[in-house]
Amino acid sequence: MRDARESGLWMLSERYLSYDEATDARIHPRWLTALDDGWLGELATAACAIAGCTVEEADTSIFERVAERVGRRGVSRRLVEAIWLVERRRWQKRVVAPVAPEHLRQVLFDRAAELGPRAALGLVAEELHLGEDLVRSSLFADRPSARRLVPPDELPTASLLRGGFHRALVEGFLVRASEMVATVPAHAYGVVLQARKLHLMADVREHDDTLEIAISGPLALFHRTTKYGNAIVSWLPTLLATECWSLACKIQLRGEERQLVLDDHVPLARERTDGTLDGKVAIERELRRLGTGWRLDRESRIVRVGGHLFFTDFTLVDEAGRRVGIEVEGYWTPELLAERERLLEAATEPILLCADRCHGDVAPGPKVILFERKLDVRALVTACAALVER
Amino acid sequence: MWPLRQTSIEGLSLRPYQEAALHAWKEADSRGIVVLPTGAGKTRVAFAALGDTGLPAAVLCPTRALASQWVTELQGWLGEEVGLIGDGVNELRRVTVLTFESAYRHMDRLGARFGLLVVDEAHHLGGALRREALEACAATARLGLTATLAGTSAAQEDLLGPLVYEQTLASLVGRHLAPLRIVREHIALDPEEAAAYTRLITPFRTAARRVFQDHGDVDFGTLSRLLGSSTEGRRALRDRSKADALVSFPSGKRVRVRSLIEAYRNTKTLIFTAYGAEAYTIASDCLVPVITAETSPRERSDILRRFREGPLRAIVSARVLNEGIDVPDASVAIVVSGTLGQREHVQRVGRVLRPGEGKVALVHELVTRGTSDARRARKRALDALRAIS
Repeated sequence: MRDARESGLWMLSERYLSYDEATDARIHPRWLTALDDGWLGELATAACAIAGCTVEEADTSIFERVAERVGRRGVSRRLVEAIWLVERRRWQKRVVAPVAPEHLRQVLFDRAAELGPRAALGLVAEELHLGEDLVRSSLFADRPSARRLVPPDELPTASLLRGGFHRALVEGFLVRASEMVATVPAHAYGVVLQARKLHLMADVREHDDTLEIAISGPLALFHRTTKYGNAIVSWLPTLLATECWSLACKIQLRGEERQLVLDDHVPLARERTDGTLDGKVAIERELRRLGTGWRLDRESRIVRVGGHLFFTDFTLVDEAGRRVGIEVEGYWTPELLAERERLLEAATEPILLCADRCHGDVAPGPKVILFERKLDVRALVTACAALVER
Repeated sequence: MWPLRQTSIEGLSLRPYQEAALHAWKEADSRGIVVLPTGAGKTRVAFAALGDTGLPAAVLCPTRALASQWVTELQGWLGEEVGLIGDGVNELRRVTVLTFESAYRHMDRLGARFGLLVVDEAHHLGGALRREALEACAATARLGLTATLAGTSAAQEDLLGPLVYEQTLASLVGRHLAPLRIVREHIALDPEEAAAYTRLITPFRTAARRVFQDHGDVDFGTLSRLLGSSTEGRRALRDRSKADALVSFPSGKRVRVRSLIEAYRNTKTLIFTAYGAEAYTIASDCLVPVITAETSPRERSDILRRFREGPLRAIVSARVLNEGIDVPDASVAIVVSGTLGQREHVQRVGRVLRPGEGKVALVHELVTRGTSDARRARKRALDALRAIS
């Protein structure tokens, strides 16, 4: 069974994504229902019985343990493997050996080169007061496939397996998206703020009673797609916690573009989310240390420019009370930055965009500064002073 | 940009074929690919190109281990600090070494600084070496290095230049490389294995015959696609994989490897397998260290150091030692199994060809008689023969 890590993402690989294709390039995820709870319950019982097995033993035997039951329901081996793969992430994988395997290898292989394998094994076993079989079986006990599975505190049940798989299925689709448009109620600013906190490339438009959040998907980026994909997945719970949301995605599956539309009817559990934003303490401290006369107003604000919304992360205020909104761009592309800078021409109050240089390099205009990993507060203040003087 | 800084290449003591390779590259307007067997000193040709042109240079290589090896050797030769981008280091210098992955990530902002681009293991272009890394570099002088090149593609010609020089194993073995002896030993399946092999391979053969009757002489990719469209075909393909795994490392090979390792106990020996599981079995049986993709970089370099300096005499590996790692000199290669064909085989043979006083390199190949393993071995040997002669 392939581990999802092999695909470069801690996500279900494409072969485990389960969906139906419609004729108009749309896809519909195949959700599990309460009708599946019978065999899922059996799978949960089989999983519990696997505790203590090695990862390899568990992976190769899980389907056989439930084959008869799932066979009657026409459930594929691949689906069973996918559900187990998702469940397995919750389990600890422990190295079980009386001696650290790497140390044992070093000692034993050096001795074997000198004395021959049989004599070396006998000698090392004697030194360690262990049986030869135990020494041999401990040699590679730290291989990922040889680690022993320890079940989580909350043992698997049919509904846990179902929920975990659904979540992994949606995440598996989202990390293959090139574009996404989320629609949420107009008051649901938390969804936008969380997208900003996670540095997603988002453009927000306000309509009468909704916000439309257009987010570039991982496949729109030149690189760093794994990190960006993980950021999108981390944003999902905030969206799920909202009422009346929908999410339209363009995704790539088997080399072709497909459309996926999800809404608040998807069978995914809502979680409590933490939408707080911080990381401003260091900037405040640096402002005080430099004695620039500028102070930081921690309040995030929403600034309307045309039909677009800018979400400033904080505001810098000088001694005369003049304010500059600061929007820190996490992930960005030169095109996105240029577009946002163009939009700012129509802004009635000064806003400065700060872009992390690790995602690209451009000649910044007066409303943009580039930084490397950490905001340079001195450069920030200089740029703000120039903006308020304009 | 850095100024030109030419270095005399006399101190390199280039061998005649290395000089010829440099000359051919310069004649082709300093663009092109040089093919030299493993152990023949490709790096020297790159050093000569660096010294001769004096251009600021980016050197691209596939792995972190190779990158640090390039840095050490370049610093020794050039007598200046050499930059490294990759493996958590970000030091840009007049001559900078980048892994393929770092080049892909950073060449868009660094590419304008270099005049010469050297690409080690250039046959990876299109795979681990993504073309964007080469497209984003402004260097007009480009040198591709490889031990195995199965024809040049349009992308290679476009991004690195034409094949400008090629030297075969056959022309160097015994002169500039160690003399080579190849022993192929045929191993029989035991009766139980033979029955299992027949049971597993027969449905595939039957299904394949049917496809050939209906669709003519199709390639393996097409055959797999056609078979994959039915449940029966998919099962036949799955069973074929099991059959391949069975004949790749049957009990007879397992016993024979044990006796060979014992026989070569006092000789530096590399053991190559097709799959990681086989490598671990041999390591457990014979108590020799194993290097696979699962081995941590720290443990890997520790094993290689103990192999180089003693006391270790043997290392078993699946594919990791094929290329991309500076493997210390060895005299014997035991090829237990291989599935990647001629390129893999030539790389493995090359691992024992570094010349030494009175050294004769020995390649001991184990082949399972009358099975797909034998067919595969025959094919890779024929292809390799074409490649080396």
